[in-house]
Amino acid sequence: MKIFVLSLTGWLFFSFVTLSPLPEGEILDLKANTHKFTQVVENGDKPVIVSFWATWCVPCIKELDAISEVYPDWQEETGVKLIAISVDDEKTARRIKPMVNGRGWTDYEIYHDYKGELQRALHITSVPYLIVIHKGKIVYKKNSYTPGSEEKLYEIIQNLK
Amino acid sequence: MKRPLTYLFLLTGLFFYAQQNNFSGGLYSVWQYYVADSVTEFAPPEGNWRSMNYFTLYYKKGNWELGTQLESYLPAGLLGYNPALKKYMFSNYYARYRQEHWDVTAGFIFEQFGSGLIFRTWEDRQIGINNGLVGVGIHYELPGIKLGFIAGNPRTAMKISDASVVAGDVRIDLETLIKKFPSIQLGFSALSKFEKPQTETLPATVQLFSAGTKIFLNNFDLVFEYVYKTPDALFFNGVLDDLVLFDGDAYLLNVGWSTKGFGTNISLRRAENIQLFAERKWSDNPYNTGILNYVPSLTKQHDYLLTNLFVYSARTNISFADRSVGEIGGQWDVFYFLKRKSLLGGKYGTRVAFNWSRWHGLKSEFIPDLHTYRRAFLEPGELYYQDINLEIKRKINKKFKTGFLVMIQDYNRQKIEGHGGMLHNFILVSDWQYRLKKRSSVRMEIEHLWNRQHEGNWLAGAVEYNWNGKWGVYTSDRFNYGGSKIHYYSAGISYNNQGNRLALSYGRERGGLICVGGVCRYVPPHTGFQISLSLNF
Repeated sequence: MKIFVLSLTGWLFFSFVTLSPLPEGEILDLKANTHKFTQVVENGDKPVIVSFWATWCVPCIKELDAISEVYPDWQEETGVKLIAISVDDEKTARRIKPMVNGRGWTDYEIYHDYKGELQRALHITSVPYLIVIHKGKIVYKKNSYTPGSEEKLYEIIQNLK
Repeated sequence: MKRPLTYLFLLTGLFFYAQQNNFSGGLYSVWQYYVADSVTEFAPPEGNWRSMNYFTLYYKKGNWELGTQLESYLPAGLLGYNPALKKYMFSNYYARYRQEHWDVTAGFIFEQFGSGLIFRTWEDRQIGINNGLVGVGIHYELPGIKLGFIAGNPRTAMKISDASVVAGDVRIDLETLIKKFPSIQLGFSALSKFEKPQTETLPATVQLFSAGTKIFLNNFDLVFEYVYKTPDALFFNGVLDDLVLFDGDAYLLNVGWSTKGFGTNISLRRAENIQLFAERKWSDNPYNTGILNYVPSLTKQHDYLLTNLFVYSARTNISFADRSVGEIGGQWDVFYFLKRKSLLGGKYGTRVAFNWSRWHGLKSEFIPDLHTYRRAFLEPGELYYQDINLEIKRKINKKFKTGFLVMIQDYNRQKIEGHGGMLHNFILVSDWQYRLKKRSSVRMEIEHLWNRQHEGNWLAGAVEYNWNGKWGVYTSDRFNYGGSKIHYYSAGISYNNQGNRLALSYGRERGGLICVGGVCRYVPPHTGFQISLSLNF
């Protein structure tokens, strides 16, 4: 019975492509100034990629490394912007800034979900977790990174009208 | 049994409605089926099944937000979680109103003041933490000044505690308040916890006070925080010790400098008897139930099989049994990018990360007759943990990436696990990733650990294959060939789509500390299947 309920709910979820509303949450920039999430992801009618990552998460770092190689081209062609929101807590939060600089991710906008508000609001149970926002709606979600999946992501961004 | 299932069905029905708008939420479920294992002498619990399920629903309209979560532990939490986690509970219910200056929440409050050393409530399902405060939270914000206030009763396992907490916080941004002032922030917090005293000598309230600053000057940044805890009784292994009351404090200093291609950071901390629990009876419980502040172990969070065999968790308490008190130490990080097309950097550049952490007890002397102790302010005592590691990652060509890690580790088993001696480990890890074709890849890692004190040497390996950007299979093995000769194997498959994930695995767990964010939970050895499902909408 329980398994039936679970599989039913699972089926329902997997079979829908959703347009979810934007959550609200307070995030910090690298100088510990607070920002509202909904303001940070403002980009007119151009898309925004929001990547949730952590300094200890190897696939997250691989994904941000991979995108950073092609990011200038993406920006030029689609006007997309990438916001990398760290989910590190105080154990590792002090590593965010040196890691961002040390890996040369200086084109990204970096923030810190220091209270975990967005993780709760978006129901993020593991990172990497990536969403694409277009015209104020979440149009795509992805959790996990495998090499090459950034190409699929770019196809999705190119098709946004 | 029937009622909660009905709830689940009702909530499932809401999924359809949720697609419309304003609603969001998710389901997270982990099921484990344990099987007897003659090699590790593991005997499964009665019924073999354990599961933990969380269904979350949020509603947002204009300035308003509503939310709740249904948790179920069927028939109880997974092995290694607090055995008190049983049956069902509605948690995380709240109503929140936000506008430009005000942010008011009633219900479950998740909050952090400063670095969390004075106060933090959060949910982490991996380590079974949900210490949310049931009450009110109010934030008021003016340019340059932020005020925070919370009051309520913390959650302890499946209950809302009778103990109550009131706390306030002020953040001042001098750069905003004063023209041409550098980027300097100040923060002050105070917290008071009330618990009905069990004996006459116990204080009804315990207070924490903190003051801190954050300074940012060009490439340089500095964070400092001090926290003081008023005297309280100690509590060991279920026995209250109210002969003498002890106060506590913590100093945290962080200095960083970074520029494009290079970043470094040093964290130093001295902490003594600073951990606060909602109720004294939960003091130092292994499940982190009822903790009110956050004292993480400041060490690198590793991600390989053998680098996570021996994990440090912060030890800041006073122990008359162990004759140890507090913790002092630090951590140093360096991140460096060797330029593309340079001699050492290669065609694509090379990324280097160095990390060194070292933690000691405070040098102390115990005076049993007076039931007290003397300790040095800054002099380190016994070594608890040391980790020196260097990680190099390099892209060889368009398809091929490699990583290499070398690590030297000293691990004081007696202090961290309560038995055994000092371990000296030397670990090498090699990691290979190859891209086969569009959106398919293979990853492989080989690791070795050298040890002469405990279980001897270990050899480990893992292979992972991902295809279509959605599917992944892996198998891994940790072989303790120098000691028990036991293989700790695991294999699994996972499917990811649109932010949803389904994973199935089978394996033999060695047991030990599972740590997330420097807070650890002890997991007993076990063997069996695991299914996890994570859905969101």
